[in-house]
Amino acid sequence: MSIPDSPDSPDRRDSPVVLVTGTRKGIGRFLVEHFVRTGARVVGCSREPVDFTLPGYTHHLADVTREEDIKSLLATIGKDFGRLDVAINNAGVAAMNAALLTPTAQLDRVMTTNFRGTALVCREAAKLMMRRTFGRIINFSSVALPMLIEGEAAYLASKAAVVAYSRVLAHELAPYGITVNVVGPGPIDTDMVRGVPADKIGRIVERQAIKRFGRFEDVANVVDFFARPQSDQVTGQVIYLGGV
Amino acid sequence: MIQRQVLVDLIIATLKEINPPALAASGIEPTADTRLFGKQGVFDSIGLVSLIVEVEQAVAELTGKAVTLADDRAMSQQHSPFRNVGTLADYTLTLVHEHPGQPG
Repeated sequence: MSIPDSPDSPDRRDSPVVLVTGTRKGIGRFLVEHFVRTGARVVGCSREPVDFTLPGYTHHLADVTREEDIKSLLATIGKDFGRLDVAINNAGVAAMNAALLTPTAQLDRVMTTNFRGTALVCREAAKLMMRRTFGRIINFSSVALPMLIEGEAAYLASKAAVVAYSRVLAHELAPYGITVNVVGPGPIDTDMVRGVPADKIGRIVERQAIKRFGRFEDVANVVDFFARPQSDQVTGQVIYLGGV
Repeated sequence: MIQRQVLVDLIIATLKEINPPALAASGIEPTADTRLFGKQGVFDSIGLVSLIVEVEQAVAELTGKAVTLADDRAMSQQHSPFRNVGTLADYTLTLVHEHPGQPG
């Protein structure tokens, strides 16, 4: 990706436009800072306001589960920038519960946020990317999916849906120069993971080939790979971190 | 309020811009009756996706309304609104009028 070194560079007006969802904290916020540092124009969204500002970063209040929010967000990006190069579907919620004890409302919440939210952003982002016959869509799964971790049935079902959707979308969007890939981080020190019992997280880490917590930088590294223009032959792929 | 003919013209302009092979080969000037999809349609499924996306964006620029043409209602209709230019213009007009916000 040809991008200026300085976030304040006037050349930023010609630099790639990156959308990240769920940017209030955690991986989303890290990815905002990461892409701003590379000189990209970064747009983010969350349901609540963020407590930071960055040159080159624009924040929108939007709920990924609400179609009107997402259509409005992408219409604004189209109007402001006329392009979208990369869309990163980071927004998500966890649901840790035994399958037999999972309330219906929790099922709905996790599927709606993790799957429908991702699908809506993919759909509307791809429409904007089609204008330039170029785009990189990067979705999120989890190492817990191939590990089939007990107590995460609803969460992992939502991530399985994201993976299946992404792989089909990769085929449908290939003629438009748009790739769709998935990164599956292992446990990282985020609010979401802090809400999971330590022994369960420990068991996940123990089953990885690389037995340590992931870092935000590990995720950014895979995202960078998928986002590169040179990765135009890489689509429909899932990279799990930690060695599953 | 936006008129049907404006949308017909917009769809025809978009159609010409995309210029699908079947249209180019026919050498026919598109009209409101030009078939878009299905038997004797000028688009295959991928081409129709492009048309719908381009028309949605053009409508948003024209009216400030972000309509979704391929919505649940369109997909469940016995007669697809994507049959020809005229039916697509009619359906688009309906959505623009129903969309909240400033009058289209």
